Amino acid sequence: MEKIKNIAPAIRQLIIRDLGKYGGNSGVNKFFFLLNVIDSLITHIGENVVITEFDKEMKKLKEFQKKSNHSTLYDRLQSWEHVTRVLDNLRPRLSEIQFAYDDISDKKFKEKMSEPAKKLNYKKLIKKVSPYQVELYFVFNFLMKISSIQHQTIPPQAFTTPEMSKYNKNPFVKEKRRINTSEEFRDVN
Amino acid sequence: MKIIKNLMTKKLENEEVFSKARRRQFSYEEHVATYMMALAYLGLNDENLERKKVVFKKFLLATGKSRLKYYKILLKFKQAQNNTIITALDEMERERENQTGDFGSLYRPFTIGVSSFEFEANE
Repeated sequence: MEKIKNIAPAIRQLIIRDLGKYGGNSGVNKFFFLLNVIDSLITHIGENVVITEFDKEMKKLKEFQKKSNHSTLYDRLQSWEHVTRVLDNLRPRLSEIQFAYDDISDKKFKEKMSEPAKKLNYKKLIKKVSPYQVELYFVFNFLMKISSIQHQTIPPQAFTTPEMSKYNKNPFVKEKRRINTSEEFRDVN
Repeated sequence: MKIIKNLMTKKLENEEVFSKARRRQFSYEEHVATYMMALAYLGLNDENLERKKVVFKKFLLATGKSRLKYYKILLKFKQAQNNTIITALDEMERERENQTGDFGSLYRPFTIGVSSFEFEANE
């Protein structure tokens, strides 16, 4: 059986918050939060442990490939060095995108009047990072396998973001009728 | 892998929300995110990944009718991607059934300690 690393509750909560931001429907750059989760988990578990477990995982994939003749992710990411190289290349780009996003004050991209230069710059930067990031997702999945966070669930409050509130409304839930409390008090009196 | 299943289901929900709002780029990105998570979970390789990357970049840079043309090409990939997502979700369900017991979340606002503890037994 694989060894599962227990993670401290404070760090666990931070990670879950970041995962909530990643899973939320704000429609902006989300890899930044995923990379944050990966970095914090690697430092908490220890890089040596992660490397040894990664090598074991790669061996398993290699054996599976030999047996089934299906091409696995072993063909793409053979060593930990390759993965770290990809992540290191990705890190400055993602942080640049995040800084560009933070500069925009209203976060409304349909309105062209306010801060057009900043919004255009942000849109340009976003096009440089493709959503097909195999290495990032594989490392995330692999770290979840090792750690005790795999049994956790993300609370629905963590998914909500203050920006773009119109997308955060759940279409399957009917809105509750709001009662004005001040009127009730008037009736009683 | 409870947390990855949770994220995948949320991403699928987001995809539907964006597609209803006619935000093609966002909805497709959410779909790709679920697909990549499924691929990583299964450990399988996608041989068409480079081609997909190129088409998606062209879709982002194009405007007007050509944008729609590239979007139609991306939709052709979607069916095969959906199959891998479904197989990954099935695999997760099988894994959950094989487990003897599972601990629920400790997080719940305005509650402290034992009162927020949940124990979920498999059916």
